[in-house]
Amino acid sequence: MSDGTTPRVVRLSLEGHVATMALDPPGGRFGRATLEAIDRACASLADDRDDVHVVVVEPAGADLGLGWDGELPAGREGVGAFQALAALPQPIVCAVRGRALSAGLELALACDVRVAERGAVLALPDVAEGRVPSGGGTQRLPRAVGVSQALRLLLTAEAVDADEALRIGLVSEVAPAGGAAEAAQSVARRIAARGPVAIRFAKEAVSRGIELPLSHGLRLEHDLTVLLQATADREEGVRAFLERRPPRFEGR
Amino acid sequence: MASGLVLERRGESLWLRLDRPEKLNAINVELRDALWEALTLVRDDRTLRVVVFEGAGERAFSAGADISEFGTAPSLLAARDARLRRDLWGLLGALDLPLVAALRGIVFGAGLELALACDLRVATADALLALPEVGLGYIPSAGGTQLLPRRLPAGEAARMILTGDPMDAARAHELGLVHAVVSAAELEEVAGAWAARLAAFDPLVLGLTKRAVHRGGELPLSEGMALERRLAAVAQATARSGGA
Repeated sequence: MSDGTTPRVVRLSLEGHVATMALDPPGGRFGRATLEAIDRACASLADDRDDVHVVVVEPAGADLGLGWDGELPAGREGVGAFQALAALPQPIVCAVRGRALSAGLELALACDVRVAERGAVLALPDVAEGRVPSGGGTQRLPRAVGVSQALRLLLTAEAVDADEALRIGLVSEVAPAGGAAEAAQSVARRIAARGPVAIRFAKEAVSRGIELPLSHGLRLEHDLTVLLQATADREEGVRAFLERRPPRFEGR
Repeated sequence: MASGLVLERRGESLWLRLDRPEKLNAINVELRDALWEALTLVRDDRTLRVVVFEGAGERAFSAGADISEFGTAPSLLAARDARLRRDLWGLLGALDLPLVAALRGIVFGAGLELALACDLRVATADALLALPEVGLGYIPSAGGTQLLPRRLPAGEAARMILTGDPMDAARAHELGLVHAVVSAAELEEVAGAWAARLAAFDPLVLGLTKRAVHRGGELPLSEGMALERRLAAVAQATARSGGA
């Protein structure tokens, strides 16, 4: 999928149905060039790429991210690019390696599932630097771990290690040191083995549904279920289950 | 019992046992209909204080929907119509009395969704909770995509729904998805103790409290606070006039 025009700070590759977005922001800090590259990468992964079932976001270097590039105008940082990431129709798995600070953690929060490795450090230290988090942290962190744990992290600027992140549900798994990327790929491959239409619908049901009153969310789930009943994949999935063999999904 | 559901009245509690152990208590159309009938009785029976759900046998609370019946509905429209007319999960959500789930072994798909519709969940240490639907090319369709993200940290809910992989009882307990983990021998006793405790409280107060949490959770905080004040006033006025 690398087409030569993709900037180095964001490298896209495709293996099977899993696309990997390796991020290498200069100095570990998210500046304009990196954000624009993330935006472009997301555009290339959006709806017309039915062959991409799952996306993995991982650091190319030692750290997922150290924060914003100081040249960015305060308060106008990564919302657009991170929003484009969160809005992808494919499920996104993020590998948290090294430090995930400020923009680094907000990037991870824009993903659906997070896995960390031993030695990882996660924090939103923005208030200690005199700024309000602006990459979605004040909104996505409470939704990820509940208001109580989110306020602790947001107001104290305190860092948590991988085990504490697991305990509060900020990450789903702690891999051995150096193992986050492989753990994220493993989660991605398991998702990619499921029904491709179903996983997109499942992401939509979850991410749109949580913004709706429960009764409307249930109706959304119901409508997507009925749509899925008309797919060949569901027929194949049920038949394969009854015949005790792995399903062969075709995405239709 | 032929319907696959056993109803047992114990004092002021109703125990509903999914009873198809040879099928891991999978929920087929007949069992679904039996649950519907039972819950309409629950809704209309003012003398009932608590409902406890359990599964027969050692291996499972429920393996979920009975896949062998999939695709047997006469048409897409008929299937949709049947669901909207007999909205079992909507009925569960609308019940005012407390619901307890006693979980053991396999708690998959619609089995987990039934447990999510309950207020209290106790599980044996060997319980495995999963929503495996995407592996069969569809999605959880009894509220799982809506209730699980409202009961778990977002990433953990997404992981379960998108991978279909199970969560064990210890992790579910750590994240608050189940409220106690016990041995298989203690399961019924703990669920029974909860039921007895709940049955001793004023049912009107419990019902209004439950309503305040569920409805209030869907509202902006200021409106939720106003709802709480109204419901608290209802309880107080009823107590003053000598009970419901």
